[in-house]
Amino acid sequence: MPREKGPNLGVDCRDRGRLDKTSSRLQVPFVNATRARRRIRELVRAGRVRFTDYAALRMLQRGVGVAEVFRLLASAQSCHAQSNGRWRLAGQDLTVVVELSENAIVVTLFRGDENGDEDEEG
Amino acid sequence: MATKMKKASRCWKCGKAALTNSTFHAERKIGGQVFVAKLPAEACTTCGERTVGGRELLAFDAAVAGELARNGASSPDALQFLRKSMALTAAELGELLELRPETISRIENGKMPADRRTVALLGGLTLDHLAGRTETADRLRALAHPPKGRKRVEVKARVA
Repeated sequence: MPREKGPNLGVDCRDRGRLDKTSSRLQVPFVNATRARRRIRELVRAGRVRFTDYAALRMLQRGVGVAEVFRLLASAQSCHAQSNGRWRLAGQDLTVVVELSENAIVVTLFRGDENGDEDEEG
Repeated sequence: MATKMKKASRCWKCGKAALTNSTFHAERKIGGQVFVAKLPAEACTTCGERTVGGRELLAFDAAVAGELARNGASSPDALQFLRKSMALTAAELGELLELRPETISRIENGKMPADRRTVALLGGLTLDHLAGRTETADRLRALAHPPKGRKRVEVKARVA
């Protein structure tokens, strides 16, 4: 299935926050890519970045530096919304999937040549 | 006077305010060595989801980088890790060390040995970075682009 790009996913903006009924995303208002990026940068500056168990393990296993991830979060080349409400930030050779709640939660990450769609959990 | 109550943290996944302290076992394998640490984490008692703070992971990486730099680690993995711990790209490090990014890549892939000066400079840059200093990087930049035009320079003489 081709990957959807950009925040326009053919879903009503007002419904975007309700896609996943089990998630705390319900409380997070819809944001576009620019706002999401800004919010992520703010959370990075405030030190409010957390990694899921899964993402932390993947990062350590794949030899990705934490500083590398922080650099990407602060200055990603591209930021796309996923259909599950998460944000995919891509740099030169690293892609990070982030969920915005009261913190920026790094859900998973992978190198550019890996397939992130198969990699994501939750 | 009413005091502002701190809002309880909620689990990012299930949204319940049921987070407890937990431990994350961090482990990095670099150049035949295994670096381990127990980091504080938060776990949700409802859904079991566990998260670890970015600061804690950064501190772990910094401790590993410090250990490698102090011991003069020169394996390709170690050199790549030291570069990444400073969030430098191969091009940025190459500029500081007067090496091409391709050369940095070859060293990090084990196709070319790193000379002692490169290892020493990378170690110096790392230890500076961990201490919040930029002296080595500044000196290397000054060597690459020497400042010109100042014939009279006022210095501060301090008696020890």
